[in-house]
Parts: sequence; C-alpha cells; structure tokens
Amino acid sequence: MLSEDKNLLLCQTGPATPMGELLRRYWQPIAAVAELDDRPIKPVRLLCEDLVLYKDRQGSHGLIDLHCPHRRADLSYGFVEERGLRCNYHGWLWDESGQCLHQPFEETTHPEGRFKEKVRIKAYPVQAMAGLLWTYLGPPPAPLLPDWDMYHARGYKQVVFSEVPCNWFQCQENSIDPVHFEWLHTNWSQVLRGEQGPRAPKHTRLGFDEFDYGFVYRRVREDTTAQDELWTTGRVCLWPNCLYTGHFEWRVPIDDGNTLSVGWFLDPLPGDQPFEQARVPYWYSPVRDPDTGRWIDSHIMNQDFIAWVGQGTIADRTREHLGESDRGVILMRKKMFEQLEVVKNGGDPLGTIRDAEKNHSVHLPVVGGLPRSVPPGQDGPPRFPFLAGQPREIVNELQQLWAELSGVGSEQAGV
Amino acid sequence: MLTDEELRDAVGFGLTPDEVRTWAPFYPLEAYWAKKHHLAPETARLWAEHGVPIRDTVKAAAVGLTLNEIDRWVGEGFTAADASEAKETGVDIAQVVAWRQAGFIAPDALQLIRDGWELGEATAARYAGVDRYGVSSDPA
Repeated sequence: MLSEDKNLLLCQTGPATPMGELLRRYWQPIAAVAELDDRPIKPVRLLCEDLVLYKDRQGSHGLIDLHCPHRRADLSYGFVEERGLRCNYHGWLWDESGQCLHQPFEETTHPEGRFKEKVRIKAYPVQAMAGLLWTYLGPPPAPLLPDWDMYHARGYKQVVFSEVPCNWFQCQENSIDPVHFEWLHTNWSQVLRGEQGPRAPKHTRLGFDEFDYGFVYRRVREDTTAQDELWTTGRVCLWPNCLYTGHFEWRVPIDDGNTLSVGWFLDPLPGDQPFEQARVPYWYSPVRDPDTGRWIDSHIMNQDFIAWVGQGTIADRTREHLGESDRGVILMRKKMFEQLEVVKNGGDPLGTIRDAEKNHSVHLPVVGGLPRSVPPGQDGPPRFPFLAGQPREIVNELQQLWAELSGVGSEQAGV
Repeated sequence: MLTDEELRDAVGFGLTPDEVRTWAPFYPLEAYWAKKHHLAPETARLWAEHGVPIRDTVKAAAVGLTLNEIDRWVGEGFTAADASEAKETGVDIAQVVAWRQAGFIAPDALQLIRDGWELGEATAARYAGVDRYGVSSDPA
C-alpha cells in the first residue's frame, strides 16, 4: 500500500515531475527504423510531450516539437526536405538540432533581419539501434544508448508496438512479479481453452538479486528445483522500464494514462551460417477485439495488458493489499524512490552507461543463453505466442527463411 | 561445475576462471555483485550457511547488521532482507511483528513507516471503502 502522493510520484512522467526527470535520464524506444523508411513523419507523444519524429531525404532522423514555433501548426502534417522538416502552414523549415533553416516570406521581405537565427524549436537526439529508433529527453550529455548482447544474437528480429491505455508503472511492476505467470498465463489460459486442469505447478520459492541494470528474479516451482535455470539464471527486470526474458518488453510512457508497449523479439533460425537481417519488420498489435469490444486475451502479452488496464488507468495503490508474492514489486518501488532522490541530487541514476568501452554487447542473463538455437525436433518456425495480430507477410517471411536456411522445401517449412 | 548459461554469465560479468573457482558455488551474478561490493568469499560463505543470500549480505554490511541480529529476525519468521530494511528504517522486531499481525508483510510495512504512517491509520486506510462499518479494520 502506498499513500496517494507516493503513488503519484511513481506515476507522473511529465516534464519537471520527479519520475519524469528520472525517466528522461534514459534512452526510450519510440519507433521502428523501418517505420520511418515506409513513412517519413510520425507524431510521437512521449512522457507527456507532443513531438514529431521524421527522417529527412538525406537520411537524418529528427525529433522536434509537434507544434511549429511560428503559430503552433502541427508539424506532423509538414513535409520532409533534403534536410529537415518543413511546416505546411507558412513553410518554416527545421533541422534535427532545432535550428530554423528557412523562413520563406521573412527571407524574401527582410533578409537582413536574420529572423531564422533567432527562433528555435525543441529538439531531442535520435539514434538507431537493433531496428528501433531511440530518443533521449534528458539534460546533456546523454548517456550511451545501451548495446545489449541479445541484439547481436543470430535470428529473425521483429518489433511489435501496442498502445495500452494505462499508466506505465503498473506495466513495469509486472516485470518483477513471478507468480503471475502461474495464474495469468498458465491457469487462465487453460480456462480460456476450456480445460478443467490440472492447474499449473505452484511457485514454491522466489529470490531477487540486484545488478547494474536492474533486478534478476529467481523462482522455483513444484516441477522445478534450485538447479533449474528459472532459479540459477533467472529473468531480468531491466531498469527502469523493461522486462527481458530473451525478448525485450519496454513500457514507454506516452503520458500518465497511456503506455506504448514496445516488444523486440528474436526467433532462432536453423543452421549456423551467418545471417544478417537487412530490415527489422514492425507491426502494431491490436489490444481490443473489434467484434466484442473486449480486450484480446489469446496471447501472452495481451493477457498482461488485461491485468494492467484492469488495475485502472492509474492503479490506486492506496487500496491494495500486498502479499508475499509482491516482494519484488515492493523492492522495485523502493529502488525507484531511491533513484528519484539520486536524480534530484544531481546524480547519474542506476543503469546509465557512459563508458564507451563498456558499451559493446552488454551482457544480460537469460535462460537458454546466447546464441539462441532452434529446439531439437522443431522443423519450422513456432506460432508467435506473445501478441495478437501478427501480419501474414511476417509469418511468410520467417517461413521462407526457415526453408532457405534449413535446406528443406518451403512446403515442409510451412510456406 | 558451471552450466553453459552460468559460464556465459561468468564471462558476461567479467569473472576470471580463478574468481569462478573462488566463488563456487555462488552463481556468477552473485559473485559479481559480491566482488563489486568488496565482500570477501569467506564472509559470503559464512552468511550463506545462515541462509543469507549475497544480495542480503551486501545490504546487511551496508547497514551494519550482524549475523546474530539476522538470526533473531529469521527466528521470528522474517527474511534477511527484512532485517536489513528494518535496520535501515530504524524499526525493531516488535514493531514489524505488530504490523505483520495487522496483515502487512514486512517490506510493505517498512515502506509505510518510512512514509510516516502509524499502524492504526494504515490499517484503517487499507479497509476504507471495504467495510463501511469498521468491522474489518480491527485485526483482532
């Protein structure tokens, strides 16, 4: 249970709020690289700020204020130029640093005024990594964008976005809540399939460790022992807003009532010949069933979404009753409160990387380890279990790859 | 003997083969955390014999908690992590026992205490809206 002010401290992410300041110390994923290749302008709401992401014709990415500083027109309806993004209202042109490059009428009538040099727009840095575009909204100098080891594993990568209408923090609490797997994903899935049981093996023991990039949670179930990887390796609650279990699930605050779930997945591929993926595909996963208006419950992360939105737009932690299964949640909240103080006192919070020598394929523990390999006996890509609505072209592309890399006919690989 | 995953963890956390041997049977992440916090392997082993994992040993050292104190907390059904957090918060066993009897697990209680809550008001607050007539707010 938390008092209301403490709860809001965790949940409010706008500029000048304590949590907003903490989250602004980290790079956040906001789009897929391929997304801007397909369509060069994307409105982005991030940490309660309205912005526009673009890729200009020379290939530079920029993230600037959604509203043109001239008379506040919406720049997501502008158009990209060789360099920068031009407003569709009066043609002012902006680059990725926030500099105004061109003011057509001003420069025609008063070129000596050099007005464009006196006007700037809010601009944030953008970097590409692992098929994603990332931004940093904090004070300079920005820390390094973490280069996790899984990004370099051999396999087929894809990025999936979902907009979840609730606060980010209840999403992240799910990242350190081992017992929910037993109920939300295993037992409830059984019920949804119409099965009567037996129920999933119960959790019998939980453990939590800290490391430089968050927490590792360990668990033992009735069907496992402390020699099982669920205990010896555990899973990573990646600081500050991600879960890592071999794939990544970032919970990126859009604002205090909405979260962008960014999933990054890697499917093992057969064979061992080098594989380079030229383009990491992306798709948007629906969260509601259009026929019923109810939340989709067929896939693992959709089930998580149902739990999160069910807690309310902002979970009312003044009315909760925490138990032994919530020790990880309490641990994470305490660490968040500590880190809010670190930032308030001018420090660098947990998990920021500033030494370039250390930012190469940074290790994260993962059950199954790296490299990822195809489980024995598997003769085609598995069904994607995490999110509903995987597009057919991605299924086909993966099946085609399996056929090519395993040397079997495409029919055998499910094409 | 490390599993393949533990071996990868050991390499990933920058442990040398000597360090892996020195720190056996702790997991690589634990060894890394202990090393980072200058915890001696002998100390870690001694505390582990009392059921205290590395993370809690590091924390206990940071707040100046002794093994005897930990044993007293564990004897009352708390964890080593609870003991460290209580010490950090400046709360004794009897207080946390009282909160536990009212239905608050130790880390939840300690967060509330740090936030300035008294047991009575916390108990009343958690039942607010549940029982309009106040019956549930009396843990007895």
